[in-house]
Amino acid sequence: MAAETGTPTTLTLKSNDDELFSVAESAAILSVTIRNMVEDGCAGGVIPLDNVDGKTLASVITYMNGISAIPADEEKKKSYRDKFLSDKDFETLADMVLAANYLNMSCLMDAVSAKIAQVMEKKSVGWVRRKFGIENDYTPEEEAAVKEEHKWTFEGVETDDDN
Amino acid sequence: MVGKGVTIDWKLRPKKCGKRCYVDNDRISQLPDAILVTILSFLSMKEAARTSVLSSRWINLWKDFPRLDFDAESALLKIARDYELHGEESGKYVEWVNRVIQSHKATTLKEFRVCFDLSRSVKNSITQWLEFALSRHVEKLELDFKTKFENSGCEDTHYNFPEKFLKHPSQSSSINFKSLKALSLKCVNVTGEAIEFFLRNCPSLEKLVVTYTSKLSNLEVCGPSLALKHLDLRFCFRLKSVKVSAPNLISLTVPKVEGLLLENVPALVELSLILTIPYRAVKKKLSTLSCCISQLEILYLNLDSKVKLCCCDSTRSDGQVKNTVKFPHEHLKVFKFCGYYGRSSDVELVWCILENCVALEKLIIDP
Repeated sequence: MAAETGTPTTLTLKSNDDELFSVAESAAILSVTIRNMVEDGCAGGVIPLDNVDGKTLASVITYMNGISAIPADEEKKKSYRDKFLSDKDFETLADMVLAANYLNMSCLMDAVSAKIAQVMEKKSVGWVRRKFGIENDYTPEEEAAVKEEHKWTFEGVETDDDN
Repeated sequence: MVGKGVTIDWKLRPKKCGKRCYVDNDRISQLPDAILVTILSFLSMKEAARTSVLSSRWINLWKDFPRLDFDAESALLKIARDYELHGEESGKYVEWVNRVIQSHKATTLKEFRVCFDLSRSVKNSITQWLEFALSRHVEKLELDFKTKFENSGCEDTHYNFPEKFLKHPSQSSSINFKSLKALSLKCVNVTGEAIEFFLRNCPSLEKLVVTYTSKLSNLEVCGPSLALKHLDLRFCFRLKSVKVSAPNLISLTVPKVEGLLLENVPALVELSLILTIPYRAVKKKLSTLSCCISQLEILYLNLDSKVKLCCCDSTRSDGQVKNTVKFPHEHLKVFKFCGYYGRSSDVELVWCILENCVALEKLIIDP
C-alpha cells in the first residue's frame, strides 16, 4: 500500500505508443488495474499501459475526468455516459471496450458493451454480418444445421434477406 | 439440407482456424470471448442465441448467457385458441428447455424462468431444470406452470416442489439456495414447511411469490434477519393462517385478512387483499390490521364483486391513481372513486367514505 501523503496526487500514464498523460489519481483509480498499481506502490513514476494506444487512452481519460466530476447520481452518470458514447463509431467503441477490459473499468465496459449490443438488437443475421463485416465461414449445410438448432431464435423475426 | 448427416465439430473449428482467418475488417469477431459474452448479455436470450448463426466464431458464445428466460408467449396463445395443440406444444417446450440447458455453459445464472402450461406429467424434466438452475447459483428463479384450468380444481396435477431439495443443504452440495434473491412459484405445489425452508436457507431472498398452490395452509414468515421485502401469496385460497414478522417487508399480498397476523413489520407500506370483501364489513375486517394500518401508504381492497377500493395514506398527497377507488381511513385526505355508476351501492359507498373519513379534504368522483 502507498503511504498516505494527504496531498492530491497526479499520476502519469503511458500509452503503448509512448504518449504520456497526466491524470488525477482520484479519477484514474476508476480503473481497478490502475488502483491496484497505486495500492501496490507502483505509481511513483510512470504507469505503462501496454495494451492501450494514445488515442484511446486520451478518450478514456476524458471519460475518467468527466464521470468522476459527477457526484453520486446514477441518472446523471448514465446520461454522461450516453452522451460520451453517442458520437463514437464502432472502431472507436471496439478500442474502448478492449481498453475498459484491460483497465478493469466495469462501468465503461458495460456502457460500451450495451452500446454495441444496441446496434445488433432486433436486426437480422444478414444485417449484423454486413454491419460488422462478419465473414460467414459456414458451409451452406453447416449454416442450415445451426439455423435448425436455433430455429426458436427466429420466431417473430423478419425473414433474413441475405440468402 | 438438414438431416443429411452433416456433422460439424463446432468446438474444433474456431481453434483450427485461428484469428488470422477473419477478414481484416471483422473487428468484432476479433474481440476476446469475455468481451463478446458481455456484449451478448445486454441482448435478450433469443437475440443472443441467434448470434450463433453469424459465423463459427459465434457458435458457442451465447452459451454463457446469464439470463435464461424461456418465454413462449406465442405457443401459449396458440394453446389458448385451440387446446388440442396443448400436447404438441408442451412437448416442444420441454424439448426446447432441455436442449438449451444441455449445451449451456454458464457456471452462474442471474435468472432462470420457465413459463408454460405444464403439469406433473413432465416432472422429471422440471426437476432437472431446477437442479440446473440451483446448482448454478441462480439469483432469480421463476417456475410458472399456470394452466388453463387453474381455477377448476386441477391443482392435483400441479408439479410438486421436490422434497429432496429441501434437505439440509450439506446433503445436496450442488444445490445452492444462497444466491437466491427472488423466487417465484406459480401453480407449483409447495408446503408451508418448504417456504419456511427457503426463508431459512436463502439469506438474500428479497422477493417471494407463491401463487395458486393448494398445499399451503399455514405459514410463518418470521425472523429478525429476514431480507424479505416483497411477499405475494395471492390465489393461495386454502391458506388458513399467515404470521408475518419481517423487519424489511415493504409489500404484502394475501388472499384475505382472516388468519393474517402481522407482528414486526415496521417497513410495510403496501398491503393488498385479493378476496372480495362486502364493503359493509370493511371496517370490522380492517380492525384486524389496526397495528399497521396507519403506516400503510397503499391498501388495495376488493370490495363487493364490482367495486374495487384502495386505501391510501394521506401522508402521500399524490396517492397513486389506479383503476380502483381509494378508500379512506382516519388519516386519509384524498379519495378518488373510479368507475362510479351511480348505483345505490355506489352512493352508499360514498356516504360510507364521508362518514369514516374525518380528515378528507378532497373527494373525486370519476364516472
